[in-house]
Amino acid sequence: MAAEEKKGPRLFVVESSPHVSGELTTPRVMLDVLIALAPATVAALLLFRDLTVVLLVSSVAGAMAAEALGNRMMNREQSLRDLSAVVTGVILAFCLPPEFPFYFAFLGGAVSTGIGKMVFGGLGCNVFNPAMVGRTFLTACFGTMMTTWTEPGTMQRIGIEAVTQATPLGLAKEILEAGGDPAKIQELAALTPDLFLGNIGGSLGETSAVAILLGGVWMLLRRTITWHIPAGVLVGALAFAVPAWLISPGSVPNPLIHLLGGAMLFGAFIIATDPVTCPLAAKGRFIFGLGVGLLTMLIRIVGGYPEGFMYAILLMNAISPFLDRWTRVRPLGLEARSDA
Amino acid sequence: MVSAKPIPEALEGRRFTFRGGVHPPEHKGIAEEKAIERVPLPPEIILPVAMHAGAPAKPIVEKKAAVERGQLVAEAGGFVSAPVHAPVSGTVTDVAPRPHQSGRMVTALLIKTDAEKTAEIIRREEAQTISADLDIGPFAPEQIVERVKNAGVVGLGGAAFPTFIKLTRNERKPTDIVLLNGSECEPYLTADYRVMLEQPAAVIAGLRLAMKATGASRGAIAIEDNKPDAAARLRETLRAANVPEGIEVCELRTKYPQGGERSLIPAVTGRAVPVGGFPPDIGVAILNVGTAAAVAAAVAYERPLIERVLTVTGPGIANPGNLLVPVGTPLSFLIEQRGGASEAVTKVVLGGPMMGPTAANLNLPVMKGMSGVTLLERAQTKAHRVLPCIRCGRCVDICPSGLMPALLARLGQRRRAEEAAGAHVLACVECGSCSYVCPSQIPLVQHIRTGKLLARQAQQKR
Repeated sequence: MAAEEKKGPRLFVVESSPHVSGELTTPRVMLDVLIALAPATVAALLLFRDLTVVLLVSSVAGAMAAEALGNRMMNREQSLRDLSAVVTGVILAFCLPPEFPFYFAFLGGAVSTGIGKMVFGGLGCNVFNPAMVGRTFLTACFGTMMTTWTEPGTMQRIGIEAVTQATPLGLAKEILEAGGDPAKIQELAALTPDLFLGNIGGSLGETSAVAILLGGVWMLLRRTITWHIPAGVLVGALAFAVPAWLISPGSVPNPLIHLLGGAMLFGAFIIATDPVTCPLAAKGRFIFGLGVGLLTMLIRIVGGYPEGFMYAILLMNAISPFLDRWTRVRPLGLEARSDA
Repeated sequence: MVSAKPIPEALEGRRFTFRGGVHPPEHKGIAEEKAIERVPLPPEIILPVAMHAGAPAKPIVEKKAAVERGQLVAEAGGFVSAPVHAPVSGTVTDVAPRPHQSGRMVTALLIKTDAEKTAEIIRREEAQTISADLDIGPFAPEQIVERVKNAGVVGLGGAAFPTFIKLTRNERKPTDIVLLNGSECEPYLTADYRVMLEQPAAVIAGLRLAMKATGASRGAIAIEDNKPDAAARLRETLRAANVPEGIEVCELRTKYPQGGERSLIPAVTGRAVPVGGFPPDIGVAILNVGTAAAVAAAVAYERPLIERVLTVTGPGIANPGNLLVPVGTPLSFLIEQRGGASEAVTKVVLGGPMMGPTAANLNLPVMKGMSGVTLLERAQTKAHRVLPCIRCGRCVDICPSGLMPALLARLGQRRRAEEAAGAHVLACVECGSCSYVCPSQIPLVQHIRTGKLLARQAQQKR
């Protein structure tokens, strides 16, 4: 007792409740995205071999370097451990043609986090999806390289003339611009099984629908994402693709090609679900997804590009704050407010 | 008056739940098997005059006065207030400001215990039993309210709102149903569980008195489905007592914060409590199960609220338990009685870990609304690195009040009172679910509290 008096009363931490917190951390959320990307990585390794490693490493390195530099310039604590730069780098790599030069992939990664995120203030502050910012930059600067597709399984290395293959969406665009060609449309429809497995020309990680869906299921199970955005994207895309196909089946491929081709699935599950740049509330997220799906199809069918997912995402990112405003959830009991 | 939806005909046999919520680890095993026991009388009692929501009570005894257990020592200080009674017989040694749970100094009566005299009165009280089929005929509604008021009964679930107000009839807002809240959704706490298990008759008698006072034709005891034996015990007691129909025991899915009245009432009745309103607005009176037992004692024997059951629990206590403790017992004495706090204890939480405030040291007394003392160690309270909000929306998805915690917290942090008020910051019940799920470990509730404070200040200015 006497000893205690000398020490004074024992003191404890005073803090605002709650005093316990869940297991989930932001780095773990990012890790779950990376785990979700694992099947697509395996598919890419099978389809494009060492090109996959080269692109992944250079893009991630670029993303991490720019993030580290940004923190340095702003005198901030390093944030690489939150894994968000790695996620950005991987997503960007997966959206690049397999034979894209590694130094430009590095540059693209650096633009993604540097311009796409750090300039806005780092994690959580950016308006646009960083990987899509990087990809837009690369598309603007190296347009030809960004649309040169490698046939899967070929082992051409950078510098050697690539064996190129039209992507299903590129083919679709050609048919559309030629005013329709029922025979070619048939040919395109026959590609459906390849689209499932990914045995077609396309971006590094986007070609295998099966691999992407596996990742999507993982994220849904882990509740890394909710169903609202993927469902919104697919519903939005179908809402455009189905009527277009019904109206002119001779010039527009069947909706399945549009869902499985290009970045649609990868985008719906992996890109559009970036939490930072989509609305907060579930309803807003669904509308956001709808917009992405509709805009993508608008660009693909009416616009000038074979693929429009990147632009659709960026456009919807831009209106995401407004969606937040429109879709504010209503407090429980607001309708029942008494007059008293 | 709102046009109220009809309450479902039969509440038994259904599993009610609410939208949102979280599943923190329960940790109820630490104390749930421990039967309620009385702790030895503390040598000194610290009795604050503010142990309830509303105006503090006014002391009516002076220094050196001799008091008896149960004697009125401070009278209600307004309409929304409650009197305070001496929990022990003894001598008032001082009436002076003392540290209070709120963080401020609050006037308290210090009473030196006369153990012998107190024990004698306790023996007498223990002989007074309450049965579930208590004859409530002789008690008029007004008399029930009066006795509850005079006994200083307040909500034992935490908010400590004066119970008599909830029991008072209001012709403009008739009460359809009296709900007893036996959810006890806070992790660690088991006091309500033990009360239901060990004092089911008093709980039921209290419910019947509350129904009579309010004029409600229906009554229900709502219990989370992690306590099936408590529900079974109450059903058994009801059956055996053969009390009038209209009382049901219903089960709720175990999910935090099921025990919050704004989660419980809509779950069971289908009626949402209006934002800015209260349960009576929708024809509901809701009491904690322990409060119901206190109501029974207050009406049947005019026994004031001078002791309560609380859980002393957590990994940091040597001998956890559910204890019957005189109000005003210093925490230091209480913890000492249970083997003391371990060296690793970093936080003393008054109540459960989701909503309980913390005590800087153990010089605070047990209060009427204190449902537990949870001693958490370093392992449970490790400091987390706060990361930026990634707008994942988890807090929005789980908010039981249908709010956007991430947005409210940002507004609170930036001291934007008007906008926070516009986003209904005052509808937040501070249940802590948002902070619990936040992967970036942002203290959302803390920022929202700031927002609420500023919003209230802004309203008052206007």
